[in-house]
Amino acid sequence: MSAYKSPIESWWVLPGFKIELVATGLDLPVNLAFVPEPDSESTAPLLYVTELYGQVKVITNDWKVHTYADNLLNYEPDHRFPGTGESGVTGLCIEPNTGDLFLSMIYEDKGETKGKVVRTSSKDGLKVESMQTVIEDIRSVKAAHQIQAVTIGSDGKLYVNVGDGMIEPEVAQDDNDLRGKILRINLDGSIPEDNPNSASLVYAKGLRNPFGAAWRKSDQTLFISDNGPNQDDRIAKVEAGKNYGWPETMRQNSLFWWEFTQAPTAIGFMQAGQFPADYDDELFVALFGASYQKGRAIKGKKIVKIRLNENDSGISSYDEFVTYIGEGPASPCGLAFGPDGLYFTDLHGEKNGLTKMPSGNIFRVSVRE
Amino acid sequence: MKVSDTKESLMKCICMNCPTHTQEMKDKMQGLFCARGKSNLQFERRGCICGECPISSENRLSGSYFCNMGAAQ
Repeated sequence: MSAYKSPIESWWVLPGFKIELVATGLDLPVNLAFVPEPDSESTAPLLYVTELYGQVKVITNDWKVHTYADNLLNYEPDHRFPGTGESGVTGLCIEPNTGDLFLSMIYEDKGETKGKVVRTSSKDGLKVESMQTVIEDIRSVKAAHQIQAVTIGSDGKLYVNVGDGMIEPEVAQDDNDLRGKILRINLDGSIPEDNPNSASLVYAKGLRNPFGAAWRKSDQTLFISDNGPNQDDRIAKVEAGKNYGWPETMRQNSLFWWEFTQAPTAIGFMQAGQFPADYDDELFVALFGASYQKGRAIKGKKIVKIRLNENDSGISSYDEFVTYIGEGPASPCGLAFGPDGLYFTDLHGEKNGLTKMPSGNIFRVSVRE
Repeated sequence: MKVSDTKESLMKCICMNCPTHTQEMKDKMQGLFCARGKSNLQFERRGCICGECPISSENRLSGSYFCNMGAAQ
């Protein structure tokens, strides 16, 4: 019998920091979102996590895991990584005034795969009580490039990253198609009058598979990660009406790109004092790598930190912050700053994915005292 | 770069997971199109995951839809 090995032993972290396991037994945990101003009771919701194949879990202040919502998918996922098992329930954010969740996911409609965003409500935040569709009917596939991150800006609008749907990349340039776009939406699903085109949800176009999104609070600016084909994964600052070039190029209006693909997923800024002041406004990026890769890898399986230059036209530093050094298929996917540190999910965990065993984890990286 | 049609490459191949890979292709055990060339079957493009394949990154392939376009050169 082999001795128990904690998942934290599978991760290297930058000297001066430590890693802890805060939740385990999750089923393909994707993205994280912390409650903006959580109640102090031990049983109050602290953070939510999407699980790829149709659940949302809520973790309370006492670090207990509860099922907030389940059976969100109306089809049977096939667990194929890479490939047709990569999509499901991914993006989430919390509306700060009500505690409602916005969730992005795919669904089947008369044999076609489509993307949508729903809004869920709950009195205590522990169990969903009602659900409304915000937008839907966006063509998609089950092999990535789906509807991804959802965020709420300081303007109170919902911003939605939508992948190009994989099959017809040229739609990313079609102003009448929502694929390959950043959408800006009123919370009820209607079009904001001050969108670049007052008759369209499209806020920016020319994107391929924009998994991650994060707001930099110091200037209320939105940044995204976007996955290229065989090269040129990128980070971009999102501006109204801009064209980001796909499918002709992944470099247009990008501030940084990886020539060798690393598969950037979630991103987040250090902007609430979790780390020393030297880290203020540094961008942390989860690099997932291959969809299912056991052991160490040169492609992804790490979190990097990036300092953007003064005018956001490029970067001034780049360092590995967390790196996978274990033997399993775990890889950083979701990422968010919360109490005292940076939290991230590892999707498959040490055993999951092809084995269908829920072994995903959430880790916290914090300053070593 | 040409891809070797070897057992090692076949072990890494992910064609079977692709949304474009049809049941008929599965029945006829077709795959590894980047090495073996395009399929002789009728099918429609329903997405391409060649870029995610370890064979693609190991050989620095820049193409896609090898099932439709033929082997990597």
